[in-house]
Amino acid sequence: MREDRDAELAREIRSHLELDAEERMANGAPVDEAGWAAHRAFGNVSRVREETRALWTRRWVEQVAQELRYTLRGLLRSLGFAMVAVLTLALGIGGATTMFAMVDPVLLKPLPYGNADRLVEISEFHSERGEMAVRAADFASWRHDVHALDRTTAFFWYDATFTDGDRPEAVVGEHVLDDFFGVLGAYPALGRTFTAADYGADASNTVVLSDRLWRRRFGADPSIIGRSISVDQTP
Amino acid sequence: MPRDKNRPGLLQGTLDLLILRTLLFGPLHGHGIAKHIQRTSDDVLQVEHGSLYPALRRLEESGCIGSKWETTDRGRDMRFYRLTPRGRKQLTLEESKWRQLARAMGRMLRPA
Repeated sequence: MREDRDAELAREIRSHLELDAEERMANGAPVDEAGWAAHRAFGNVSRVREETRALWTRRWVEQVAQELRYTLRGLLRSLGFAMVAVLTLALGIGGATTMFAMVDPVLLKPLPYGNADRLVEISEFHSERGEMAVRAADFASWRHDVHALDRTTAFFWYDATFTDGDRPEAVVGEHVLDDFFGVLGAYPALGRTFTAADYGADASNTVVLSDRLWRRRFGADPSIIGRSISVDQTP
Repeated sequence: MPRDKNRPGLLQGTLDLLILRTLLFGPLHGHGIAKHIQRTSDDVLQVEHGSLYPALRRLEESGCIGSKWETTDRGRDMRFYRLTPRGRKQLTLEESKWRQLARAMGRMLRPA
């Protein structure tokens, strides 16, 4: 738009100078003299173009400022309405942001495991008692007969008391079946996870500590492997 | 055209009035307006032709004049300006203001 107007102004000035020179030649002036005279009478061409451009810019700024003033005055005139509108917007934006902040990690971001999109949890629900523990026989049957599942594992939450030395601490424990870590695609930073041997009848109890507990209680001590701790007073 | 010290320069705001007044006789292009002002004032009013254009744009934006590209009898494309009804009203207003000023100045310089 600005370029169009500028180009049009340049064309107009050119036609002006040509006409002026032509008339001077008709009055007997030599060709180059006529051209120079026309330019002299016109003055500085680029200054004229600049002045005109500045005029457009000033005009535009004035218009925008005018609109802003007008809008502001309108809002001030109906202050109550303006406040309600602003508050509504603020609440709406705030609400949507909070909602997204909550939904994003729970529903949208994948779990931090390998193959997170192929991970499913199966549990049983009772119409009155809610979520139920899966019976061992059911699990065994799912593990063998449901071919849609590549690998299966099971876990059971419980509240445990963890003791090392003389300081007991309430933690959340989880009994897990073999292949639990394999299914999740999670690998320990230190030591090993459970193997088939750990599930033998004569195997000693083994635990995998969470990273957080390891740092809190053992100061991230790497020599922890093989040490004996006590969970629910059982070594 | 070297500026003559004995000729008056253009007073602030007079150029708009001169343009509107010139266009009262019919549509004209910038060059024609410049020539008309010079001729009518017996070359007393020296208008630098270029200074017409910012003034023309200003008048056009305020709605006092309109413009159209037209081809002259000699086959040259020129932008022609014409007075709008609003410009006519503005001209009457400016003219009476100018007459008042001129009368006042005359009384000041040649008291009765």
